[in-house]
Amino acid sequence: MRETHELQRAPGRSRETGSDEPLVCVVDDDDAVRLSISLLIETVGFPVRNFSSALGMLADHDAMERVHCLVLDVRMPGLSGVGLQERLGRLGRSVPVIFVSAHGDVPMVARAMREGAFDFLQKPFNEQVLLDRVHEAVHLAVRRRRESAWRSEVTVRLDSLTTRERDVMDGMVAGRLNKQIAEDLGISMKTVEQHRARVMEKLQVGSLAELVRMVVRSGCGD
Amino acid sequence: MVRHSSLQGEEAAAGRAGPPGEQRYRAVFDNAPYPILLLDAQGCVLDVNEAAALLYRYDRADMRGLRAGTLIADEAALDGLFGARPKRLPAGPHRRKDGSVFAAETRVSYIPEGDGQLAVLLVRDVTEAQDTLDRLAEAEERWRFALEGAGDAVWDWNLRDGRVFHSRRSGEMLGYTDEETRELVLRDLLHPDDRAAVSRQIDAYKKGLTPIYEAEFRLRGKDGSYRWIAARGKAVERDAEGCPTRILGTHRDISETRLLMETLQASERRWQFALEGHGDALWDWAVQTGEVKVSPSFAAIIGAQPGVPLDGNDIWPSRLHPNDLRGAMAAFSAHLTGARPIAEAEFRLCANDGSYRWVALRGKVMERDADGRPTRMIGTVRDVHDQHLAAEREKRQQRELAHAARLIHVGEMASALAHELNQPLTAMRNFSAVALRRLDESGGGEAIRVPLKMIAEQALRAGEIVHRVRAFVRKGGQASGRVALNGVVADMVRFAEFEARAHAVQFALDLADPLPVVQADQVQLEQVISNLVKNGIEAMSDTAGDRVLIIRTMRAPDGGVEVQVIDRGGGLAESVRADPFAPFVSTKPDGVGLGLAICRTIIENHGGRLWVESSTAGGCTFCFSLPPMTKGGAGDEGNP
Repeated sequence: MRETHELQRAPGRSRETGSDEPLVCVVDDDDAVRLSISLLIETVGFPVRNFSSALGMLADHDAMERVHCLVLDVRMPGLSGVGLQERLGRLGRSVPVIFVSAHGDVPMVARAMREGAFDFLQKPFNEQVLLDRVHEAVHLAVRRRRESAWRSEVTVRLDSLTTRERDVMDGMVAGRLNKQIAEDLGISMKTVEQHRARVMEKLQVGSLAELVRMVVRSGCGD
Repeated sequence: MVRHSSLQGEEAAAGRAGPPGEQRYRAVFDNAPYPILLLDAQGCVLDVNEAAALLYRYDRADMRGLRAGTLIADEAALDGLFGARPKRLPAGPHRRKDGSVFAAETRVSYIPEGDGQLAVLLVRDVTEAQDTLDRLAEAEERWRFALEGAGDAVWDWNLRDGRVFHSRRSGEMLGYTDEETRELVLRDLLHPDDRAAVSRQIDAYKKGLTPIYEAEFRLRGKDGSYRWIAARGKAVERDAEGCPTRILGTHRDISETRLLMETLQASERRWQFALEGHGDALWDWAVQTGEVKVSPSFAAIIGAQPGVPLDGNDIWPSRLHPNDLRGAMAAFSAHLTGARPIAEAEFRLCANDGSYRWVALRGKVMERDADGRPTRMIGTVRDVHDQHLAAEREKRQQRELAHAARLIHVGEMASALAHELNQPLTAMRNFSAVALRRLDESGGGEAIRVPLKMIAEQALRAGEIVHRVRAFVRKGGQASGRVALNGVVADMVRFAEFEARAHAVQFALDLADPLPVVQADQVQLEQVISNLVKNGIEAMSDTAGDRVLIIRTMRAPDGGVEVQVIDRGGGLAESVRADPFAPFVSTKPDGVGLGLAICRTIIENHGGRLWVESSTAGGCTFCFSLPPMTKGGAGDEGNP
């Protein structure tokens, strides 16, 4: 308990650790439930930050930035759990949400699932099920984060290319020979070769195959 | 009219005896079987014979010298005896020695005696005859009085000699004059078609089969046209065997009445037709004989062949539902005794196929006999079966609505309660799990590991109970969707597995595959099946043989689904057999008696039906059906 309170009081503590460390957020208006879930998740080693309201969570930018998994009560005073889920969706943050509810209302479950909820558990639940789902959610979030991190890194590298280097790269990805690229662009073979070496260097790839894979995967190719 | 021919004979015998000799005269006088008084001109008794002494109960000697007035109470009758010399004295009271009085008729003849004369009185005790005469006179008076206005004719038929006296009116009603009437032989005027019937009526009366002679026939009038005559007659004299020897009666011209009756019958037919058009069936009940005539639509209600006569008691009481008998009979008797102007009752009537239909009866006594006893009741019967069932259902629904309102209230409470309870239960579960995990990390603590696990389990169990309660009471707001019943059955069987094991009951599933999906609220159907399954399990808790609960699903003929839950228990208890679905009736010591009532409401809300297919000592079969899904009626909450 003390641990969690410290956690709550020191939101800045994790900032230095970077956004890669998985953070699980618990939002529930019931103190005992919130605390018990937090403690439970901490036993498997994830840092947890908890909030007594959906708006409290939205106001915490650090948590919003770092959250890997959200354990969310459906019915709460103020903004409901499903409302928060929709808000996150509009903000472009795809965080896996595990709903927990003391009401098993069918329409509510349906709505939550339609909004892309990761799972829906009825209180009280078997804690092992929750922990398993938290693990899975975190892994999914980590994968997503890595993907998007890599994608932004690639974007940075691609942006460092000059216009001419970019043209040469496009030719390379399209599978054209240096001679053909030189003809396409109306420059000398030698100039093409120089640009080509700069592209490989700036994009930090060792081979043409690697280059092609990166460009295709990032979706930045023509 | 010759009434006392025998007396005339006696008179002749006494009168013509003559005086061939004192001795002979004396012998005749003494031994004559008829009482004879011999009076002198002063009206004193000169002599009497033995028969007279016997009649008046005197010693013969004591009677001599008595004044005639001592014996003949009506002294006025004696006044003119030697003056006007009447041949007879009117029947009147005579007095015996002991003072008692009897009626007697007296014939008188006169014998010259010196310069005066003697009167010979033949006395005949007519007490019996007098009675008859009195009655006759009275009756005649009554008849005359009653019938004169209606123009009835009187006839007097002596069967001994076949002579018939007809009053003036008899001929008059046929257009004959008085003179012609005297010569009339009515038998000759009888319509040929009516002769046989009239003879039959007369024979029946003579043999004593009918209390009164009655006949209706046509007589030919003077102008050749026939008039309808109603004849009524009664014997006024009978022979030793009791056969009528003389019948007195009336004739009444009923031509007008018959015409009226025919018109009436026509209008009755019209009335009947009109009522039948409104769906009312008619009945006409001869109360004394019990014979009931019914209209074709009545026959249709009970499934009888139209036109086939029904036995007297065939309608009521034998076709009445035993449970309705008392009420119906009370309604009848309230009317028959005059307490109610109309008999009104609703009851179930058994049709020929054994099924019962609700009918509404209205009836009224139309005819009564002279003593006021009802002889004929007429009324209608209306088939109110569907209305009745609808009304019953409405009543039940109202009852259940009130109940549902309470349930919804309870439901809301339960919902709130569930939420409130589930929160601490969640916390309990989680905290105990955290504790267990910390024990895992630190090692040891084996002694508290098990109780901690128990706490965690019980928290989950409590949560399940709360969920079930809440799902059970949630009646409002049907969440409709496509439901595969086989899945629901499988789920509910799993749910009841624990209970089944506790009662050593095995499940036998007979699920039709494929089975049409139905449009329903799955939770509510779960409630129904779970309820039936649980009832089935509990029904077999005392069963000695195999405890098998069969659950069968099948495609209904209408494309819907039918589900049967068949147990091998002891059948329905007596207390619930009449209506196993009645709310607040339970055979379980702690039962509220709502389970089946809610089930039925749920099924009926889904447009289906829940019923008991059979209940015997060998088990009970509950069935419910659900209608097929309607096209486009998937209930997608208004999505285009």
